[in-house]
Amino acid sequence: MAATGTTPATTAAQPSQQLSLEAQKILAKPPRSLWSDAWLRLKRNKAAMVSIVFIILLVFIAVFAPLITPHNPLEQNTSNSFRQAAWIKTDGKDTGNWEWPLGTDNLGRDVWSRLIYGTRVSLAVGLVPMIIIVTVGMAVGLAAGFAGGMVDNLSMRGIDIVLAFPDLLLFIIATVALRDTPLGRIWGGLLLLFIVLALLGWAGLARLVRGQVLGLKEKEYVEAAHSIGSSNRRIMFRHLMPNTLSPVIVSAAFLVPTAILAEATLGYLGLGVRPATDPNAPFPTSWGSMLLEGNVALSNQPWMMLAPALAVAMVLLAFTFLGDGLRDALDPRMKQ
Amino acid sequence: MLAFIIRRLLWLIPVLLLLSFITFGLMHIAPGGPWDTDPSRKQLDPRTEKALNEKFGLDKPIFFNTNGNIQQPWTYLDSQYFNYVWKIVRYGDFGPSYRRRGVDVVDILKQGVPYSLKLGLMAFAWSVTFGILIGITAALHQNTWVDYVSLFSATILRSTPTFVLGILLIIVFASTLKWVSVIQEDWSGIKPFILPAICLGAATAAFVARLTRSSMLDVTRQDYIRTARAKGVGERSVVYSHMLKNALIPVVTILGPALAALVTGSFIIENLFGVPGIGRLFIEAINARDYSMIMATTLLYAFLVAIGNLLVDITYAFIDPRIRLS
Repeated sequence: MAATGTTPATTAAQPSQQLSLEAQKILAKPPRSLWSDAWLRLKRNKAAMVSIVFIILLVFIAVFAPLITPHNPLEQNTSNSFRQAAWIKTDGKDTGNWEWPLGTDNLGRDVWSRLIYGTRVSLAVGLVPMIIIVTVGMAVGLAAGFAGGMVDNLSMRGIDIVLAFPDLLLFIIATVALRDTPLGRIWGGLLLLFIVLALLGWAGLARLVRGQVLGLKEKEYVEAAHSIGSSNRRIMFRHLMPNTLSPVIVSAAFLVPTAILAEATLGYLGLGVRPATDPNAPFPTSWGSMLLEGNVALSNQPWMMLAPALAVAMVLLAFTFLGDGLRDALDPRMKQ
Repeated sequence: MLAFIIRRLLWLIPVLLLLSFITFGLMHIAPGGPWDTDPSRKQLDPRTEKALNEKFGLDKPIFFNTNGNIQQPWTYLDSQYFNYVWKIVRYGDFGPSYRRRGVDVVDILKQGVPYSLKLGLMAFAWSVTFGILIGITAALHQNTWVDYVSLFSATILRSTPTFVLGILLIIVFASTLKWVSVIQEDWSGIKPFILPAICLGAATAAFVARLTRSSMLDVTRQDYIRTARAKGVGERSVVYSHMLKNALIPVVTILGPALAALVTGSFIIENLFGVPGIGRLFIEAINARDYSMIMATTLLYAFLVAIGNLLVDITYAFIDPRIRLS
């Protein structure tokens, strides 16, 4: 069962000469594994495919931000503040100009360049905690489900407690408390965000994996593996883990927008990533901080706030579509 | 059933204790204290600060008193945290607010809760009503434009952050159309809550709509619906008494967490629109390092969320006899 995860495509590519014509015909058609099946279904989902392209594009934008941005995101020019977006024409000095596509903010910084750099923070905040959560959640869930007994009991109690916490609230308290410690200063507070998001997020995934493992443990192929003397380690990693992957992938896809939203929310409350002053800082600003700055100038220069707000909404939409697509692809029974 | 409820309520005790422990620790790591004033203004006299600390017991160790006396082991617990917990357990006293002198935290919360409750309930009412109606309509017209439009807008709404929606609504209705003023002064009656409630409930409405739709479609394919049609039950009766009753079971299960989330999850909306509810009080308390206020709001939130979840499990067992609580 688990072996189907690795497609024997390589054997199909070099048909052995000893095999009969019939056998070669069968092998010539690459066998369809769970994953290739899911990929075929995902490819047919237009919204999910558009989202994937959009997300890849965002990754490129984030990586190559210095090459794309017309201005340095921290370059101030107070005589050029509150310039309107390019297509808004006014008579005064703040009329729109394509040199500043989305206008400038209160300090005369280019909103478009800041928006592009903000992509970095949002993607990092979305992806890094997700990876930590999946690793920790799978480890705890697998251990708890497979070992059973005391281990299971203890981990479940821990999971229950973490799940009962009001997460946004604790998130805010933890960020406020730790942002002035040495830990909270690394990368302008980004590392702290990763840690706090991961600490509050692992429990849900661990519970999901444990539930899966409890069900899978009773399956015949696990019993068979036990009976031929497979080690516990082999059963856990070769038989149980690959089979818990599809629900894990789906929930991982939904963890990303949750984290991005949490960062934007914190930033909007003035508790997010610290604004950098060094013009070469890799994370000069975040969409959350831009929302906060834009809030004050909502009637003067609405694009200061609209731009990051729409950006957050689009990224969330893309990851939601992707998550929906993955769920339909990996669990066709769910599809209506 | 009663045993189940009691067990769940008992389980709340360690959860709240641990939460209070973590929150208490985190609060004290945060630099600054409740007596700090704006750096530009006149600072508190150190002697006054010392007297205030003594008065409120803030001069004691945070968690454990290492100067305790072995003959009287409880003196080791003569710390800020254990005194705080003891006062709550013994007298139900959440302490005075450190920022607003002479006012009890409970009294401040009592002022804030009605606003948050009103906002949350309004958001809940509209989102559930609309969500269910749209979900049913979409399911009954599956694969027509009605279905596609509702499904698409539900997906968009679900992934629109509440503050984005709030900003858009403020720009359209307050800045451009000038139907409401951006800064509300008077928070009595229903009208000032309409925009915030729309924002707050939008994501829930979208979620309920999607859930109702898929649950309805699931039920439509059941044998008992075919049987009902076959024996000549009218279409209206099939929809209302056969389909809806069963289709709403999964919807009911999310109502508890949804209500808890709406009543408690309104930090952003309350800050954006300036609603004087607990969400805003919490953010104020955080910024002012008003320790007792932060603790009380956190515990209140955790309690509300837990009760919301418990209510769901109970209603679930009532409406779906196949579920047994254990």
